[in-house]
Amino acid sequence: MSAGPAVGVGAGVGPTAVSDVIDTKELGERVPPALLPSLVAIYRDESARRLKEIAGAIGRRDARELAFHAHALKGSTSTFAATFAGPTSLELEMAGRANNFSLATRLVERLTAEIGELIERLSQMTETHTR
Amino acid sequence: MATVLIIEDNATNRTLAEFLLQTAGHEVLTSPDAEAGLALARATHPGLILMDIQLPGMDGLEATMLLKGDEATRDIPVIALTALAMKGDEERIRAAGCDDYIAKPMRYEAFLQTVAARLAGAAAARA
Repeated sequence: MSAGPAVGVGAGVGPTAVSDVIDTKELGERVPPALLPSLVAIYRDESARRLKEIAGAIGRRDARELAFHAHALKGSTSTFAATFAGPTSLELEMAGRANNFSLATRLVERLTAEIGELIERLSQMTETHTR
Repeated sequence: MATVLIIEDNATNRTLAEFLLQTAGHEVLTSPDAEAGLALARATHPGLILMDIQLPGMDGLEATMLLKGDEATRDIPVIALTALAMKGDEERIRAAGCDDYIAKPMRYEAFLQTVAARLAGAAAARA
């Protein structure tokens, strides 16, 4: 077996563990454990809204709106020390700034899967903490 | 302890900052945009403002310039919350009149230390 994130979401393959999608040490320095469950719930709603805004911006070929919402999504996603979703949201912001809508379309698809995986693993962490 | 105004459109990060500040004993006011944030700042004169830079409508830099250009609010310290994603961001933040900045994603101990240091500095300046 190789070391490191062998099952990266970025590669389109489903991860198997929390540590594949979250830098848990870094997360511990960013979010107090007591706040994590409610913050994940807020992020679940906020990320869904941002992804919808981003899809709309791509549909309208509105690069400014695309970059705006991708930047905001990067901000909240990075708070959770997301190994893949954080960098992908940055790539998406850059695609918006470059008016590259075909790249943005591919990145949104990938980011949607990565955020879904991130939320699932964060939820798993909060369940473990509250048991 | 002080009253701190958070102007941040990102609900996740706004909630995190609010929680940390309340845990540290501060009173917290929040606004998701600059326009409402400016009105709150004028009405309540908080001890400190945490200002996100990318906001819907008026951005955080313009809002800071307005605060610093107003006799009634120019003494309120403003800390920018920013990813420092673009070259020249720090210079633009300083030029707008921000007293300090906290890079996002933020680590909560460093965040609270920066807030405490800026509040202490403001208190010393008033004494």
